[in-house]
Amino acid sequence: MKKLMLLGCGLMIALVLVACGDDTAGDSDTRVVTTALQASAVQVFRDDDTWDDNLWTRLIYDELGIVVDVTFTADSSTDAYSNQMNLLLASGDLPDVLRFDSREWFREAVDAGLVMDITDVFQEYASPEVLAFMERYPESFEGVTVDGRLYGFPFMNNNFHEASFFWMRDDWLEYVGGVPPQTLDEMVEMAIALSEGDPDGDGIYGNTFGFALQSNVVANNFGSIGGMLAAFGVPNYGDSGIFFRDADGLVTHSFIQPEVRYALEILNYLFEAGAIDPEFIVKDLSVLETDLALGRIGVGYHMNWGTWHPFNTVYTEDGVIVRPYPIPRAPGFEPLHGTRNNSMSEYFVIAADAAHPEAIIEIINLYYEVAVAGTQEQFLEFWADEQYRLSPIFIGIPTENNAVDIIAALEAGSSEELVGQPLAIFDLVVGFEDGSLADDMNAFGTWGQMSEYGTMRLALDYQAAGMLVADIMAGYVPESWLHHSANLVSHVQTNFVNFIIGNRSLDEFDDFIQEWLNMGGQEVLDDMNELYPN
Amino acid sequence: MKRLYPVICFEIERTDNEMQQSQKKKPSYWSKDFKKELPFYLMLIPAFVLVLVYSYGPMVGIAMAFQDFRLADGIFGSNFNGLDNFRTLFSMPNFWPVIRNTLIIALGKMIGGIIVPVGFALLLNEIRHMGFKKSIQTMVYLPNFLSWVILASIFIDILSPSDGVVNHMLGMIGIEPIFFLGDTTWFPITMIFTEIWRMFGFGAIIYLAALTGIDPTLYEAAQIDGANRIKQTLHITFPGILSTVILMTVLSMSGVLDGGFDQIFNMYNPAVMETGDILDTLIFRFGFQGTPQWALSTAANLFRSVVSTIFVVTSYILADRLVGYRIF
Repeated sequence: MKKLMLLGCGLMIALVLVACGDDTAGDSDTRVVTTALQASAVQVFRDDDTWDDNLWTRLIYDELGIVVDVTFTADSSTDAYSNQMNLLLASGDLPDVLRFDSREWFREAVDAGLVMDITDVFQEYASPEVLAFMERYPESFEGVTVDGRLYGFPFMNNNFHEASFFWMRDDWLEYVGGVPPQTLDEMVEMAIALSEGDPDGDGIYGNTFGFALQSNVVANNFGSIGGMLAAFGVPNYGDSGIFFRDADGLVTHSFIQPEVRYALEILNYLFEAGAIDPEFIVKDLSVLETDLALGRIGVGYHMNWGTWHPFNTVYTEDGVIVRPYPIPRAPGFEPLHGTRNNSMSEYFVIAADAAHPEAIIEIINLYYEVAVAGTQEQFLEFWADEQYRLSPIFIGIPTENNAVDIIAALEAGSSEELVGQPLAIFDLVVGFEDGSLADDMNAFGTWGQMSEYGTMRLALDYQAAGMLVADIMAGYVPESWLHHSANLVSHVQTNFVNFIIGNRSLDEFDDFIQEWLNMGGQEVLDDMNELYPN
Repeated sequence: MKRLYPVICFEIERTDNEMQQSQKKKPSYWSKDFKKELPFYLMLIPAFVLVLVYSYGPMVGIAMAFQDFRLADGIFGSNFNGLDNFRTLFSMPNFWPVIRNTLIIALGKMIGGIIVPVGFALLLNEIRHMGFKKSIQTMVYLPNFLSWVILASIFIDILSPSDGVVNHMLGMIGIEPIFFLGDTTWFPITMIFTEIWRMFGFGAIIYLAALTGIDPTLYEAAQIDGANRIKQTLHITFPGILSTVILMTVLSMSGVLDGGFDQIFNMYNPAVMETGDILDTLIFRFGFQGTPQWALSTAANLFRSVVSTIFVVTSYILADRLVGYRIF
């Protein structure tokens, strides 16, 4: 009996060993690509898909025999993803391919030799169609080129759409008379009327707020003050602000313009008047979005993609559209919107020690075939519903780049000129307007950007009126900015909040500017003038 | 873990005696006992290696505090710049306010963290009904196991001035709503109170343990002499646990620059930076948010470690002098 059991055990061990042998043999043929994904609340999964096993990982395995291994996902709407990136920088242990948007990070990673020089491998393996992007978007590729060598695969940027817009719920607009505010004075009056009145119609007066503000007041997101700064001719984008030239041609920065004070005065007035949630300082974006979905807040500044998030929640909850308008003007000021430099927004990099860089380029080629030049069905399957984000590397052609063509086709009422992605977008907008796609969130999101009421139309108007100012800082980042930016950003965030809630008197705004300059800001400006001479 | 020291401390006192004995027979100790105990020393090696690699190895990184650290050059390639990082750190306008905040919050927690658990343990000790006593004890020590990530969002809700339950109750007795997490005066106080609320149940366990160590015959004798319960508490119970109280106080001194990162990080906001920003959050922002400044972050952390070490040594000496407690 004992012998029999021993034999059985022996057999089992042998079987296991054989199985293992098979596995390792398989591994040497399969190429494994490790990656990190930016998780987000908007991510939708088809069926039982997960971050690790989804339609993209299956397609990549079936078509190319490449196994995609997701090493981690982190939320990119909070600091989680960028903190993780900084951790990777410190440890040097990068996944084979990852996506990020920080110039500083890119520079440090390239300097430290953590990122692969892909000049040759890209030329050798990229399909002609993919290579053609280098000629169509030279500025974007410039941004990930260091000393003539290519270190990343960039988003194909045309950043005209990174302006700010003023968004309002349709029913709240109705409540205050149906005409969106043209000037900041009108906006203030309206915000106070909305917070004292009963725009949500629950019979209780004063349980609403007329102006949305989140705790990070200079975020490039919902609840920012960016649009109000823009109204006073202060171009800005996100909490780092932008660098631009003043009247004398010298480099200056968004948040140290004297005009910022006027915007903060208005905000302080709104805060004192109760039009801003007194608790906004403890409410980060997700809490503000909850208030929005609950109908406590219905007006605020946001970027162009508001109908994708968070205004889609208002649409699904209440069936009410939150619509974009041009920012209310400040009399006597010409609005200026800041955008990032076209040479740098998001990018993919390949780790220096990646075993199969060519596999990653092959994924780009596959992505092009399926999600850019593919059929309508493929496009809807692999691109729509944010599915493209699940590919470890994708061609970031912002749909906004096609806005001119799509709007022209919509005005002409004919999609004859369009193919692929632009055609799918055309159909979504038309579908939303004729009601056939009224419940489709892709259609709603797209409609908010691309229709004649959408943000692209407004951004193109801004552009035509010469209101767009691009960040001067392109691929080259001065060392001093690397050193001081974290402190400067935090100084701006903290002080703006304190000015708004009245903890600090606005009479001290000049002191604030001086502090900013003393904390290293002046050094950064000097270096910028040297790096980017007029 | 340091709250478990008193339990260990009895054992240590015992080993102290044994040590004294073994010191007498020192000559034979190494030759005979070492051979006998050799397997145990060998078993210690993995743990020893782990500590060496993961606790002592990373200390090489302290070099960053004295460098003009560049990632491209690494720790061994970057230029040393002496105390430049510390000069930058100390000259930063928000550094000394941050130290002040850290001290206020940490000291508040230390003081409250002694008084409240001791008081609670004394009160709980008076309860005769065992079931009731046990359930109270379990209830108050549960919060200790909740992470601040969860507690922070709960507190943001219940402390809200508009619809939080706390301000609702204050409103009923005619007090204007207080913005606990948005007011520079109230924020540190709130931090101290919420932390004490979280840990006092757990802290009380030690004192309850110390209470069981009091000889019951003392109470019997006191009763015969006619002492009432308050007298008994004052003259028997309290002196009985006094050494434990002093010990815990002294041991907690090493946390003088530990304001409680998880708590503050999850609850602070731009409006209360002035009084709510502590050393740990400053170090975190240097190291991980925006563009990382590792050298400065390391310098700040080293400063914190040095100050803490001074306090640990002081507390060690004090513990020895006051209650005769020694680790080595």
